[in-house]
Amino acid sequence: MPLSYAENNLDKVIVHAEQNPVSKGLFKQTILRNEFLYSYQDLSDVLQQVAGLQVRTSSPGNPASLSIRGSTHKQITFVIDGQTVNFAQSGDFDINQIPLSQIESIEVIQGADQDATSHQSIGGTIRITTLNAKSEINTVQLSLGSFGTQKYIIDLNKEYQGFWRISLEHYKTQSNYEYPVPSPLDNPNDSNRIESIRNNAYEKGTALIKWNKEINSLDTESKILVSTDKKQLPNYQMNSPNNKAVLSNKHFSYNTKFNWDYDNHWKFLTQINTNQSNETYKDLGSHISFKPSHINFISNQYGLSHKTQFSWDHSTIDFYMNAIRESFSEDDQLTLTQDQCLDNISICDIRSNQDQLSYKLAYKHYTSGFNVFTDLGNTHITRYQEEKYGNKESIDFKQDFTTWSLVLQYLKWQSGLISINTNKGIRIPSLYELFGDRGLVKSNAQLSAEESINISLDIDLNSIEFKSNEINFSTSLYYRQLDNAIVPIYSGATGKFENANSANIFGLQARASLSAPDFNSGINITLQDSQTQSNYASFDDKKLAGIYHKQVMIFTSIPFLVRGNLHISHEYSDQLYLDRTNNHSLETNQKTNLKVSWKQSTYIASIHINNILNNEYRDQFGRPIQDRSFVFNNYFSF
Amino acid sequence: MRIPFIISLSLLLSACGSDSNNSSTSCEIDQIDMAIQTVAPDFGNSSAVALACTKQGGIIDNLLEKTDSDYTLSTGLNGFYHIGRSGIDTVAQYNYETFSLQNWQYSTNTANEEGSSNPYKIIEASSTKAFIIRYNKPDVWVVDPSANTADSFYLSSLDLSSYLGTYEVTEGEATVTKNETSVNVADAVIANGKLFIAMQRLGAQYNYTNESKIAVFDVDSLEEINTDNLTDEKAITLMGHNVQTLHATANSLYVASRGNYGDDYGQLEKIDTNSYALSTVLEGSETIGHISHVQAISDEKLFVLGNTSGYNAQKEYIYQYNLFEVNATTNAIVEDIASFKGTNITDIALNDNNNLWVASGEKSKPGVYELDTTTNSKLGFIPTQMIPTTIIFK
Repeated sequence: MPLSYAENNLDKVIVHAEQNPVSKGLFKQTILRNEFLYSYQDLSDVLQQVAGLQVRTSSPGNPASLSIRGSTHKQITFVIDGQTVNFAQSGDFDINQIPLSQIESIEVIQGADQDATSHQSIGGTIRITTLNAKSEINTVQLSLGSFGTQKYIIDLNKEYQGFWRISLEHYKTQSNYEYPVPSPLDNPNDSNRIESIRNNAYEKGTALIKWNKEINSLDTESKILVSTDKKQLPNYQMNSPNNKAVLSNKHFSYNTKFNWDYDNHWKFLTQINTNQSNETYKDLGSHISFKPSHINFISNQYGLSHKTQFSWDHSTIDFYMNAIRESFSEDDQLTLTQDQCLDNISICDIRSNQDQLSYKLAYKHYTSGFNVFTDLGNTHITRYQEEKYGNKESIDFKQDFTTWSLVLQYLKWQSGLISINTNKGIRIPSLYELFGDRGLVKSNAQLSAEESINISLDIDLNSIEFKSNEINFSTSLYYRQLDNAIVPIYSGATGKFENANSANIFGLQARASLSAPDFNSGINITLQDSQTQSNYASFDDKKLAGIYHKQVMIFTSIPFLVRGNLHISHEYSDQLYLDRTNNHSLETNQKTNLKVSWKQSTYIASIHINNILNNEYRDQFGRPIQDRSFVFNNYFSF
Repeated sequence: MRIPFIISLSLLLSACGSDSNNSSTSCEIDQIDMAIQTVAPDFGNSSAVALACTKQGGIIDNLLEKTDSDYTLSTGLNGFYHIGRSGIDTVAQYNYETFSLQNWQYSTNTANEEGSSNPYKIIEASSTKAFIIRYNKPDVWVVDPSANTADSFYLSSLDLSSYLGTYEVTEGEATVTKNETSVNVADAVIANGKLFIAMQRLGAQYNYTNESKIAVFDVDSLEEINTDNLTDEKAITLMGHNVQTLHATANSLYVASRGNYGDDYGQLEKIDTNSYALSTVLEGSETIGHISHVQAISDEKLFVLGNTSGYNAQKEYIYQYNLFEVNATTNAIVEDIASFKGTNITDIALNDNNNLWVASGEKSKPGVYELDTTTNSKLGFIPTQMIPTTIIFK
């Protein structure tokens, strides 16, 4: 590849003053690879910059938890290369499964999404597109950081019978930060003694292979993604050196897309995919579990989707059909007999299946002044669960769900936009919520989908010239009426999920940024209020748990010595209740991050220092997490 | 499958916060005569203690708030004990009069002792001697509740390791026999100068066909008493499996065993605390439910909780219990108390007046009911903010 090509591409990467990657709009934002690759460590790090999107992280390897406009993580639809990846069993997806180095673009939609292949979700959509096979840049990345963090990436391209792209990443960290141990093993009465956390390492390897070929008007793309990871599980209470508890996962996904542009009016997109995951939890010393544990969790997902698009003048009609078959099994390797399966603790080797068939019609009308987008869809679900020995009854379940959306946009100024967005979103209960684990968590076949009516008014004023500066401003007022919120309810040792709560959420988001010749600055603000309603007295008339009600982030980016750039950001987060009773809240979280980067021809180096003031903070479960850390990144392109 | 896993573990979890009093009727300090452990319905991140004055019907709620959920209470001569169970492993002493001030808190694990000890209860023999039962361990601690330091708190242990069993697991292709590490002590009471210790002995595999046993120790000498001279084993072997609770009268010990979570409904047994003779009072059944709790006023008047929780016709799991008055001299149910039939009862406890207090986990109306045991009718109700799980009296 000519060096000049690489130079040109790198020029896109680091401008003299680094922009925050999401400087336009609030309701729908697209972040491109060259805006995030060299500036952020992982996907949750990037999404943290999106106003209105809360990302609550924990130790490396623990899933991050997202919230869009007060939603829960499970109320967000996660789409990778057109494939919905929320697993039926858990209902969610760990965004850090996808390495940042293997992402081409990220789209965040904070509400109605006419491009969703099935139903409207409550929170919105995060749509990820993996690497473009046609890119001609080869890269190598080496990163070293505190707590034994290492990351190696190689990304190669080749043109042979089409375009090929192979990307390999290996990441590992000891993550052995210090924290106050509640009950140290060697002296349990020496509470809150500071120790380095043990058995908290995380290691992950990922390989992505992508192939693309275009024949006439048929564009074919195939992808294979293979990953393995191993997360050690610490015992926060005692910090025992003998704790060997571990969660390991092998993941495989395959996807092929056929995109056929028949003529100027008709387009067809057909896609097949599979997602398979084999997870093993092992804690033979009972350091985490009630009893010695060795359990395998196997998930399989097969999908077939089709989209037919008809366009004329200023309008398009899209018809979507999406079929997904999923299966899940949970095999306790230590449960030997069906007698043991009768207890109240064992998970009893369950098997679950779900078939989902969705149809959707979407209409989009564009003019120079007004846009109208709307859709109406139906999802039919069939579910079944049984357990290995037949002692606990099998359950089947069928239900239909209908959702809709309507977006009205008014384009007034050259780059100004006012839009009213409304939709009815749902979150279908996960198989786990519906069926439990047949041990401590019982089934509730009466569980309904969570439902929400969402309304927002969004205003974007972009690229306003002021003297020699550019100003961007976006704001949104939103309201959400959430019903049938699914809550675990326990009595004694056993529990089940119920549609126990409803809630109103009202919020204001604002984002302003200023691009000057010698610096960029900006501010993101999210203020939310919420009120719950519940038949459970202690959950009634409370604030929603698990979301920050106040969040402010300010950032400034300053170039220096032509090739260098300094970026500093400060986050203030407050009013996160840990529990639905609102008896406990997290302390105000303030975090300052510093990034310094340097570009020299085809080489880029950067140092990231996170939580530079070393403020102690906890995750959404109240667990202590990593304090100040740094990472030194080196990127080579050729 | 990390999220379901985390949710299952949340049964072990807990957290802290501010004290507040949201009850409509409060108590004067010297009127307080009852303590109630409460927990949020989702067992997620909140538990608290409520102190109540039963004569006035008042309550001071949301005290000793924790972000861990698995807390319980035990009664003491001069106050109460707040016990952090699975994964917390602490016992703390408080006085009713100065409830916001902790007298002391000690760990229930010894140095380098792996795994949660999971303390269930502290039973006072005197102001300087008490016993702590630890569900996950094969012993009972002897402690000094008047101790000022952790070192002087622990005195000795009552060894129950002779009652440990074995279990089998697969390792690769082989089936391997392993030694149990716990006898699962679920309850203990002092009667006739002896400590009766109820051992479930479910083991690591929660095997509900394992025999439950009662070990008996002399409170003064701390020597184990041989209850059966015919065999080498000193303990009493129960007929019911999976023993839950004990309650003693003058000369009798009543033992509630729930059986498994299938068609073994357990039974209520009676032990003569002098001769150790064992007899069945009541067998559980599909109608009665699993025998999960007993409180005894006398041999003629017992209150027994039957757990009939299970799936309804719509395949939703329902929490429901039945409360019975039972006569242990005739082994007959005297009354199936209608006012509590099919409700979610989380604990029962007798006060000094021999009235029965019933903790109700009903979602819209959590709280504790007082039952007049002469008529078996409700006398009053004290609401709690969260679900009551344990009742103790001053």
